[in-house]
Amino acid sequence: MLSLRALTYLTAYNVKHILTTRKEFILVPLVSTIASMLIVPYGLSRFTSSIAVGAVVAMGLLVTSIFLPSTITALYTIIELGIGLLDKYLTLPIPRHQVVLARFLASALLGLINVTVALILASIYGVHITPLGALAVYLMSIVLSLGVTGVVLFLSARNLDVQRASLMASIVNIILLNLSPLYFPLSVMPPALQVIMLINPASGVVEALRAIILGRGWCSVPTLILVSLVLNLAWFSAGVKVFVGRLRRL
Amino acid sequence: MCGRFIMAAFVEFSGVWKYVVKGVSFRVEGPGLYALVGPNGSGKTTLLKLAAGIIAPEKGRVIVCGTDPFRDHKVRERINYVGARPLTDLNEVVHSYLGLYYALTPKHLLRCGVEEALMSFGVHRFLREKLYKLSEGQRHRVELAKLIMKRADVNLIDEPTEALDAEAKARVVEVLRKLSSESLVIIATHDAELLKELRPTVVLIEKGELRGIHEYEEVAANLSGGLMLEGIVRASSPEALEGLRGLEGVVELSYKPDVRELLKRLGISPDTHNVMVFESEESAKKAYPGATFVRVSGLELNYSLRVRLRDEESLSVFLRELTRRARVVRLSVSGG
Repeated sequence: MLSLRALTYLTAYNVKHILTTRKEFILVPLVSTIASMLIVPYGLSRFTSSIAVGAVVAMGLLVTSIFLPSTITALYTIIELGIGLLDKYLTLPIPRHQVVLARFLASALLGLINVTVALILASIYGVHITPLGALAVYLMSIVLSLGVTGVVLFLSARNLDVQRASLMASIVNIILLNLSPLYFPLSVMPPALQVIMLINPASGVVEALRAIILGRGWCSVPTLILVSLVLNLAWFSAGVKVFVGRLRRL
Repeated sequence: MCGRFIMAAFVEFSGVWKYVVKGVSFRVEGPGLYALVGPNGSGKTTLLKLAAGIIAPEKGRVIVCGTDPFRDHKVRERINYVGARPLTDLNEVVHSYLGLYYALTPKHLLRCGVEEALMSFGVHRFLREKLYKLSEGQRHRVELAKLIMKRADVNLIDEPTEALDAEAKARVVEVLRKLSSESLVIIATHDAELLKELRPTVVLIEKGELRGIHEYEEVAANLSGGLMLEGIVRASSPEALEGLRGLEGVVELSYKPDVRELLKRLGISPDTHNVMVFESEESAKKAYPGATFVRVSGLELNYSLRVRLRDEESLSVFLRELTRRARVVRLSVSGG
């Protein structure tokens, strides 16, 4: 039980640490979300009113609001490892994978602040979500945060060079967003492509969010949540494994 | 060594390779006090980090109390690792930093709380302060407070007297004496005065290799005898001062550039709290992502210089060579 207590403590410690010394983890995504959600859906709804632009675009921005905090945290963790600031954790009598897990759980939980602001701003454009829907959005946000973190760690942690890690993190973001069904439902794609796109940890989450926000296809949401959970946890585990392996080569 | 543990407190290196460390093998057992002594870059800190389980060896084996500290997290409960500076970013509050260790140390291994531990080194008034607001010496005292807070079988301390004033140094001596009577204490130090006070078993390390393990008395003449020169010199490159190391009679030589002057020359305010300056080989660029490397060669700077000479006979030769290579701003000679 000490491990569970340690994990809980470390997660809470990381939440507090980010809130007090790494405010940029929250502020940067928040400013980005607010800036994009204030203007983009409004401009698009003025441009064309034939589709539910507010709902569609707001969903896209909601997904990107989940991406940014998890990418920043993963990247910072790689940088901190490079400059020795993780030594504080590495001397603790706790398994290393728990140290990493606690850090990213904290980040996923704090990412909910950004998601909440995105949901509030989305309501301006007529996106009304039920309490159950909001709960599902929060759950999906945590799941996707872990998945994105996993992919960033998996591809970036092999190299502690800050420029290369940053570049890799940007590429990961672009690929994951653009190879997900962000701008169209997955059902319009050919079956083979649907399967390939589902390898992307963001795809299932995007589909589930679309169903929740548009209020259509709710019945598919539990399945999508389950599939996303498995896929994102698999990516997260792979990323943590690579990262912990990197510690050995420090 | 604590009676409740079955396995005795020991640290064993078997053919360990890591960074500058080249195939080091030795075993030290507690209770007792051991000092890793050697010039900069000889691998002292690396050995401490290996024993703490922070890093793993490339080749060879590190065993602490019967197990690998990198793989086995449980054994890290029995280890106290005290760095030459706090192991966190300086934006962190003192209480939060030490509180992490306090909360994650099993209760039966805690001697006292955070505040009491800080009080022991006279820095309790900084409990709620961010580390960057403290001086280097005060930060080091905060780091040393870990020794008081946690009861460990193996205490690993990097440069225990770095940046400390006389009062704090005396406190460190007292604490290390007490700890070494009940546990295994390994320190890495250049401080000849500290060695003289503590008379530890000396583990000599040079260029990453073990040169021998000796009782203090056997090597005391080399470590603390002779003359001590301390002062400020102005040189155009560290290489100019490095060349003094090979002179006959030079037992120990260390120098550090004036960081404030260096920052000013680079157009950075020396009071910027989030700038960290460290010395590194150019070949280590990859290990410090985000760092800006500045070649100090060719940049005339003040250096604080500390030299131990074997005897008075070496003094005139040394001074002649020093004045040829650098301009002496101030220099004091003691001992002899």
